[in-house]
Amino acid sequence: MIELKNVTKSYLTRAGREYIFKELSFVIPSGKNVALIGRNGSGKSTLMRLLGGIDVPDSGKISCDGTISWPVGLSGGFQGSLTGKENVKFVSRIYGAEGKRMQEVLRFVEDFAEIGPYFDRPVNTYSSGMRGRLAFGLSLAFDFDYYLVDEAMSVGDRRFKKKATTAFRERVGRANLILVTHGMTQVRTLCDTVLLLRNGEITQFDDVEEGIAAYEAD
Amino acid sequence: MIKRQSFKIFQAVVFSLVLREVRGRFSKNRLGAFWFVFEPLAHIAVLMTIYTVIKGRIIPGMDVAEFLATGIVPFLLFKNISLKGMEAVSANQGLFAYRQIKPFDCIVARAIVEFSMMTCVYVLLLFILKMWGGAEISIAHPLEWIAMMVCGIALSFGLGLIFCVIGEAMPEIKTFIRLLFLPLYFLSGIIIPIWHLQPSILKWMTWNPFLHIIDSLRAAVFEYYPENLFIIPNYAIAVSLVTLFLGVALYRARRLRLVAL
Repeated sequence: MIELKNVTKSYLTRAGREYIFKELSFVIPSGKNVALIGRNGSGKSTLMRLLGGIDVPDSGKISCDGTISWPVGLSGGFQGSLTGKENVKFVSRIYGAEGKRMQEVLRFVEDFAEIGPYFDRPVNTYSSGMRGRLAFGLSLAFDFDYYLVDEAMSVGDRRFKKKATTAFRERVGRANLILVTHGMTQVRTLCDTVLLLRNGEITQFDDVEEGIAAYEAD
Repeated sequence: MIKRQSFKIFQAVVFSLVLREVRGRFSKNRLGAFWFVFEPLAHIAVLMTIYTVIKGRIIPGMDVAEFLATGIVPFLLFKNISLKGMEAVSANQGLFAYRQIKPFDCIVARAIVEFSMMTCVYVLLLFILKMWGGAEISIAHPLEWIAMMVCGIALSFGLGLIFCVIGEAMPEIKTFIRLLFLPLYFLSGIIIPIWHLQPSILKWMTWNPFLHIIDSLRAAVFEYYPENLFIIPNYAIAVSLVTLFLGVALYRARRLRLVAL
């Protein structure tokens, strides 16, 4: 369960202060794969960043009973001159995966990303698809209670997408997904609850089709 | 996922950041590991050659090259800790998506990297001076020397924290801060022995805590270093503590702003 209590978030723009959320209180249900949908600029990414701890609310509190992943598929944290393997080791160390556990992580990521010899080459020689694959595999190597996925399912070719979807399906029951996307097929295949963001307000739809309909009517 | 103590996390994060920083520099170009030490070494060697040849003046009781080395290396260390610390947050912005990594860790990691690098440089430099010039390289008062080094590192770390917070609020000011270190070079008595200066000028220069630190460091290295009434080590220690406190307080107040991309 992730609880938002009176969360206010604003950004300072040239035209003055722009409020994304004002006194927003909401509970993201546990045990469910959640899709966050809404139009561009409705605050999906901001909410994602708040949940991921990359950004902090101006006031209010966000509390959670489990571990939340970093945004899955994030490749901005990779150091270009280091190899994929070294980057994976870096993240493992931060998450306390040393020794044998680190070897497991390395093997998992290498298998999952399927980038072959590129795993031992500098990340700045990668194509964007390969970066995405590596980042994706890295997030799945750790067991989180909540996975934040921000449009990351769109990396890679069809085969990889299928693999990613299966990987998440396998985790149902152990972990939950919070998915930000514009692709309704993904919402239908992966999620069982829809949260629709409109003008800084969240509406919950327990019926996926109903939520999608509301989003499309918006 | 196992729950860890905050200090354990801090340790793990700093360790991995140090590794990443050094690995990154090593793999930047061919012979990266060599340049890592040789670059500052060459910089210092050139400076020392210029000043030894141009000045050529003999400082009684001590070797000119060693006199310069004992000032330039610590000063460059202090400068690097401050300036690299200032850039630590903007250079590692992408990493804050991993919630364990805090800006403070990045600044600490950079200070450790700079310290290790400069230690290598200093040892190599003294080794060369000893082998070639036959200089007497032992430190006469090691405890005082270590105390002053700690004081200087604390001061520059505090400055790094302050610059980091200011630089986030006003990025334009970073260039100005970088430029400030150039005159500081001359105002810290690194090249000119302070007893060559007029007391009327020296009186104003003593506002600069680095002058006290560098001169106290030298007084600790050389057995018969001319004592100067203007040099008060306690002043430098007081300034360091205040700066460090200010830095930590500013960081604490603005830490959440630093993380935001």
